[in-house]
Amino acid sequence: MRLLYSLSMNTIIILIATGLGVGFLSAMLGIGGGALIIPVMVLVFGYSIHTAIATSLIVIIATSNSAASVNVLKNLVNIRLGLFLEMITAAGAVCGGMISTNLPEKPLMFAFSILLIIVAILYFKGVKPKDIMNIQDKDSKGFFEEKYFDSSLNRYITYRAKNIVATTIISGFAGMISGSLGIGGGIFKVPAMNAISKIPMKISTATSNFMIGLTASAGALIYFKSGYVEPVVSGMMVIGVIVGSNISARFFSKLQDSTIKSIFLIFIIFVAIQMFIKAIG
Amino acid sequence: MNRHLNINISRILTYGTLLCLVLIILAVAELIITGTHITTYKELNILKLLQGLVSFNPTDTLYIALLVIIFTPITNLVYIFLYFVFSKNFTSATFPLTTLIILIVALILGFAV
Repeated sequence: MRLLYSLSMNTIIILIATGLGVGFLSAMLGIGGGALIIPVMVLVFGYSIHTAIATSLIVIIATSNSAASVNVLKNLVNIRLGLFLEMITAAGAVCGGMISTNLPEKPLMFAFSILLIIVAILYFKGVKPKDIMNIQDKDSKGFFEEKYFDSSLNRYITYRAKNIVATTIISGFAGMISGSLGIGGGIFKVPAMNAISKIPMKISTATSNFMIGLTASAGALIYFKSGYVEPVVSGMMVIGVIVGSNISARFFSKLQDSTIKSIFLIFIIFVAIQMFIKAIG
Repeated sequence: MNRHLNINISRILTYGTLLCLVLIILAVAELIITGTHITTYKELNILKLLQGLVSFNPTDTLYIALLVIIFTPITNLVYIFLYFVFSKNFTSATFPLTTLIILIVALILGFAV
């Protein structure tokens, strides 16, 4: 049965289901989901890379809006910290976009995949979620103080961002990578906020999720203006994503930080492998 | 952080998302009723899209739904900036303002940040 445009009912169901899965995972990990959507759209559905990127940007915004609407109410988003880091990330992304035309893409992707593996190893061996809670309980120094109720620990936790200079520099770097390679910066920002600034994992991913919607909106408008948006594909994915990310955001506060961190590590390795294959392919 | 700010940010995001969902469902309903096709526009004119929305054109309704979702976080950013300005927290107001300026520069330069 042909329902919308030239898409079959099966394709529409697959698009909504893909959106549902991507929305669920992205909202939990504080990532955009471009690394999941773009290969599916190009390899499974055969869309052009521009259409895939345009759809991915719209999906990122939908994920961010839907998850942040729940997370902000639960005080899981550090708004001032998110906006501060966003300012640096966006500036880095513009610089990355400017210099990317002069850089060879494949060696950059190769270096990036190696860097991601190093990040994954350091992050795995580094600070544990329990240690972060202990540091936050003992050390009252830091910026952007906030408080939230952790459902998995059943208590209020007050936290502050430590080593903010280092996290700011990494956010700028994440922006540059994002602008030059077209990938989201969440993969660097979440570990930086968590491991360097000692911000609980839930807050790091929820704050990153809030931020990515802002940056993706400028990119989405550019692709929108250029006519790369396929309205039916984007619309169907948006339906799935809104439902998936909303379910994830409601379920997310009950998860333990260590579980979110483990899933995040698997995702870093997945992106590193994807980048490595692109670099040698 | 002020509870009032959090509630309003959540409301903007929820209403934006819900409006987008309603418009997508409306576009599908228009499509089924009118029996037309959804087309992909190579050039976009917001005024024409709005005219299409009120005349129940499914393609225009779907495009407007996507524009609603794209503009929701930008609306939020403007609201946060105004909130900090009116509460005289000028240091915090510089964060959304600078981000807005960078996003506008990125749009003008044509970079997808």
